[in-house]
Amino acid sequence: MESHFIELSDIRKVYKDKEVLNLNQLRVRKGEIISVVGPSGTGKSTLLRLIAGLEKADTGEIMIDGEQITNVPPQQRPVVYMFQESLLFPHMNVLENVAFGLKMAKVSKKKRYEKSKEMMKRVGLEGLESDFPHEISGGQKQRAALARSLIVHPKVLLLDEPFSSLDTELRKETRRWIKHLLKSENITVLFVTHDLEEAMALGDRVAVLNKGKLQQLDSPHVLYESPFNPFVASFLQGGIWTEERFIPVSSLKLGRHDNQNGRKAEVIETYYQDGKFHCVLSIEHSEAIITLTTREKVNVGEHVKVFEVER
Amino acid sequence: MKWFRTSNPYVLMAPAVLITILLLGYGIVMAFLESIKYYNQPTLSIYRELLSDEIFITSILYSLRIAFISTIISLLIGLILVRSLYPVLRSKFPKLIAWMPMVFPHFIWGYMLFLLFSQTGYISSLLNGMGLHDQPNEFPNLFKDSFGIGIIITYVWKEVPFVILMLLPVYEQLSSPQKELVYTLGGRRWDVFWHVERPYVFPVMLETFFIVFAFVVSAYEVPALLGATYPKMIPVISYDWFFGSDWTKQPYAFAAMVILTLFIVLIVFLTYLFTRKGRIHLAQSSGAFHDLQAENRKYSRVLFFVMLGMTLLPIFILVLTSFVQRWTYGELLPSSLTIRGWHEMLWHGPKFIEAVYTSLGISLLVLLLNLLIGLPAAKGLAFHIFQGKSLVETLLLSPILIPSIVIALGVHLTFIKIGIANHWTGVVIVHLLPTLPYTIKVLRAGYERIGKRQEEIAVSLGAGAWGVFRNVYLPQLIPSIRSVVFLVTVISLGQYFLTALIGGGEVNTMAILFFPYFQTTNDAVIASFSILFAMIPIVVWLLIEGTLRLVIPKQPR
Amino acid sequence: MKKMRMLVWVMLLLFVSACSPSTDAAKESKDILKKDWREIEETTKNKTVRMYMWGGDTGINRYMDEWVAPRLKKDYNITLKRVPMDAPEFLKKLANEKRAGKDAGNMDIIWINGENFKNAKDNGLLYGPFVDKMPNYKKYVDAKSLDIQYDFGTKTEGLEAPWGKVQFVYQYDEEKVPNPPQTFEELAQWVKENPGKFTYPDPADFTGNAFVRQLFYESSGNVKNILDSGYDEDFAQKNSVKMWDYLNEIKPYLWREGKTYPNNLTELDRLYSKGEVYITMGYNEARAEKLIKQSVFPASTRSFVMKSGSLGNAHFLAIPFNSPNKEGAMIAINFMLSPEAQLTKLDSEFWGENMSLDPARLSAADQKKLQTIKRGESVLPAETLKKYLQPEVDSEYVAWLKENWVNEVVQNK
Repeated sequence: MESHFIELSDIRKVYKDKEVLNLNQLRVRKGEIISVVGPSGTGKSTLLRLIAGLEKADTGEIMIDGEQITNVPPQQRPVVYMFQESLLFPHMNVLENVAFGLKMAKVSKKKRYEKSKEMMKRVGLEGLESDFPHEISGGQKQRAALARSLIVHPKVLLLDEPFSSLDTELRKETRRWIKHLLKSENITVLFVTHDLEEAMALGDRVAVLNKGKLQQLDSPHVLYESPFNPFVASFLQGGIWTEERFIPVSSLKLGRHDNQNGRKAEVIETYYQDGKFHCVLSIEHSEAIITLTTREKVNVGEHVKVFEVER
Repeated sequence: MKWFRTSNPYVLMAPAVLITILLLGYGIVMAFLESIKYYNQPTLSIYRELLSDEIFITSILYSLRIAFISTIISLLIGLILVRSLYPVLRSKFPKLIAWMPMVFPHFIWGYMLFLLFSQTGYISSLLNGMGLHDQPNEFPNLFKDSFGIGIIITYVWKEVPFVILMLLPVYEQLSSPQKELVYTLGGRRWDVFWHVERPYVFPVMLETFFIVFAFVVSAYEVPALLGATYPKMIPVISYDWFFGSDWTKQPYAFAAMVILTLFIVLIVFLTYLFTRKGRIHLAQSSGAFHDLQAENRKYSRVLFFVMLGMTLLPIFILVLTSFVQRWTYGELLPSSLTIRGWHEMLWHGPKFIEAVYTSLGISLLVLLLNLLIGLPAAKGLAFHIFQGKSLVETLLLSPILIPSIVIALGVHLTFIKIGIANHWTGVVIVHLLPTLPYTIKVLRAGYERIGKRQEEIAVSLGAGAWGVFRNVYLPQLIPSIRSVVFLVTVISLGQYFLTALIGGGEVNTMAILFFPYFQTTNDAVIASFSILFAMIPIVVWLLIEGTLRLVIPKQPR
Repeated sequence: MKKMRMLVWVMLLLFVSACSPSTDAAKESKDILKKDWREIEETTKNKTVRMYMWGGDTGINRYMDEWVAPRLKKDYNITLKRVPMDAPEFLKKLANEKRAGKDAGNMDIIWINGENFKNAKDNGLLYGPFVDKMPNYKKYVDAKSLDIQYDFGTKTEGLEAPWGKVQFVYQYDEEKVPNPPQTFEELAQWVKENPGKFTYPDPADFTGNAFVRQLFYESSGNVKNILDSGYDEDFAQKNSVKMWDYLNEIKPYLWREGKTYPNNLTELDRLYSKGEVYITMGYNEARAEKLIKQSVFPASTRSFVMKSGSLGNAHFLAIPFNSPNKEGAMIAINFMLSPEAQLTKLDSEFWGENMSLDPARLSAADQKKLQTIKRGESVLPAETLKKYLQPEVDSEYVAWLKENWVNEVVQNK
């Protein structure tokens, strides 16, 4: 049997008579980055908080690296949790913030500052040691928060929308070096986001959650090409689910509305990018929304047809 | 079990709740039993008699009116000051100025204002000296008038600093982006106040309202000093029944106070019940500091100087008075000066030194106990939602809502029985009553400002319970602890009646040694005693400030 | 929870330690009265006596701390601790201790009179009778005189020893009032001619009540009538009409048109000191001396008494039922009744108040000393004072006057 680094089984969590999470099984391999996506309120954050031990599941078990941690208090779990906002301690300077975990582990002052400085160098925060959180930029805060998390060498890192407070460019930049860093540290990561592009870019595999249940856990490619069910398909906007069969966007083509075959669709948005016109289409008689490219300009509101092409 | 290791709100609050119940419970029961004369035939006749007595009803209405007016005016002035001044007030010196009137016990402050504004006071004398009027009685009569203007002025002047103390933390955590949002949506100043500030400010205002209202309606000293012969405020009448020569009147005092207490506690409980929801959402703050900008920047400087003047003028007059031998009405300057007042105060020598040490020791112990009991309770209230929270909140607040003579009898009897009457331990424990509610209140606001998330981060980084407290909460609670130090020492030092009764003359604090002198006619003596008295909390404050600096060397900004 | 358990333990410990030694206290204190004086003196060496007394006068406090305490230490090896506390407060404390069954208290001497004595006596808070044990009492106090047998109409029965005597006088500013009134009619006349320049404290106050009480004497014809009838509300009702009429008649001409009154003597004195009113009043015929010296009162302050009489009373020292050092208390009280202590007390440098001793019983030397003491210009001659002296009546009239004054005068619009 394949060995799993993180293994959750039969996890169930109820808040005030409302089931927020119900997972039969979730298995993550060592060093893997898992993106967790899903509509808001589907228990993504709850999942992370359960693993971190900040909340207790009503039933079920959590194993990390072969150890049962279901009843281990949060401070003893080999897990670090990072919030949406950087949440640096406002009363400590950056160096003290980064060194916090080591201080808690009773590492000597000299040693912990030495290590922290090293870590700060790695995340590109050199020279900001004595600044206070309110004196540095949003991106720097996130780097500091990451450094603070990584310095304790957690087996598992839990990221709860860590980039949501950054602007688009900074987000992209930050996620690239984070991925690089995480890979080089070989850390297992669960990463909650609402940004699909980010999820695909960062995650080795992506977990799609809906209404507290795991819908599918696969690599981005598989998710797009063969979603398990209509929810995953429509959530990812990766194609059309028709007659119990999924047709990915890569097999679809735009045609004029007077064609005999194909499915009717309405253009709801167009934009020009990378030398092509992109049009966002709403497929008639379904909730699916897909984006196709074309060489000709199409106008919003126009009716068109969508064909399946042989590959 | 160590409290910081648990997150069970009941455990966190147990010490505070137990001590409150132990101290209050028997006292209230005794007071009620006394008021129905349980020792012969239990009867509610006193209540019937009181509630049909015209003088009593007039007095109740008069008390409620004075309390209501003083409280509302204090709240409004406090709110305006905090809104315009909160960036200024964040620095230590302006804060100390704003809080200064609190170091003077109420009746001393009333006395200071009397010196200033009575018909033969300094202002009137100055006007006369400048030839603006001839007779003292041309000056408006502000004291001992039947409307209670002097009482109201004194309370407003004294309570505004307290309102500032309560509201300041709220304004420090308000976010300016939210305000900007309202402006961009076309909102006016008023909308900003209503939609951004009100949800945060209102619950605190409400609480402050009750604390101040309950205090004013049941405090004895100020109306006794500045009140008219008729109508009298309820506490004055009750004290008279309680301490008067006719001991058969004592049940009347209890009955009057029980009526007042029931009224206040009921209203507070109902309010907590109805405003419970609003507060929960406010506790989810992330703990980030926001850049602060005052609303009315141009006025804030002016306002600050007005406040400075209002605070320093009475103090200046007090200092001057302590050296005046004779200052005839209409003279611009006193005709002769003396150090007699100071001499009278300081010849006590060893007694004086003893009183200073006793006072310091007691207030420090009270402070320590307050923090030990208050920190967990405040955390429990700040971060947890649980069954019976409104009840616990009301209970923990109730010691300051209940007049001390109501519980004095019961507490004293209990303390005699367990042997801590006539001993400093009893005094320290009884001082918890008027101080603990403030401590919990202030610390709770502090916890709410920090938010719970930082604890989660720290825990996830491996911090144990003590580690979290020591490294995350404590340093950020320093501003709140500073307020607690200030409030607790001021209140503890000002306790005369409870200290006299429980300490029984064995525990000679500054209050015990010097309060009797307030009955002299010699203004220089009273003034120098008042100054001496106000110095102690400042000394304690400086001591603690120094210690804090040693313990926690770095503080942001 | 550990903390709570600790607290409970501490409380239990204190409880146990406080409860154990208080047995047989009652029996023990009976035995003291059987001892002879020598024995009593022997047993009190190296002990502390705690005296609870009103502490609002610097002169009195200095007399106790600077004169009495050092001599007690030197002569009897007793440490006297003065605890400043108002009588109603320490009596409340004592009553609570009695109620809680605490036989070992911490007060040894209390300073009381009038209604406080009555309350203490009626509630069994006093130890004694003990006065006859004390040599100085037997030797110098005229135990037969009415003002020592009765304290505001309550029999003293040896439960309290007289410490001093005071008489009610009015103080006025000679420069502003050249001819002070001699009778209440003249006072009313003067008040009408000088509107706003006279008032009296609220009768809830000790002094204010005394002022009204004197009017009550006049209103009922003669003190004798009141003394004969004892406390009788019907009598008071009938005989007070004249008094209420008088007070209502002068009311519009009083300070602040009688809409409000000073709450206590301190306030009246302050008004007098500021020149808002021209007349003040109070017990202790020599009280103005010190205030003149401190420049609180103008130097031209003099005093007068009404021809119809001036109230005089004595104030006393008593021993609480649960005093832990009753022998010491007796020694200390005996010392305070010595001619030396009493003559020093008379000196306005300290207190300036009259002796409780009978001058005729003093030794020739002390009598001479008494005559040489100058009490000051503001103090009336002893003969004048003695001539108009009147006794106090039952202390229940104090409460009666206080309550009815509100209805008859304040409420009367």
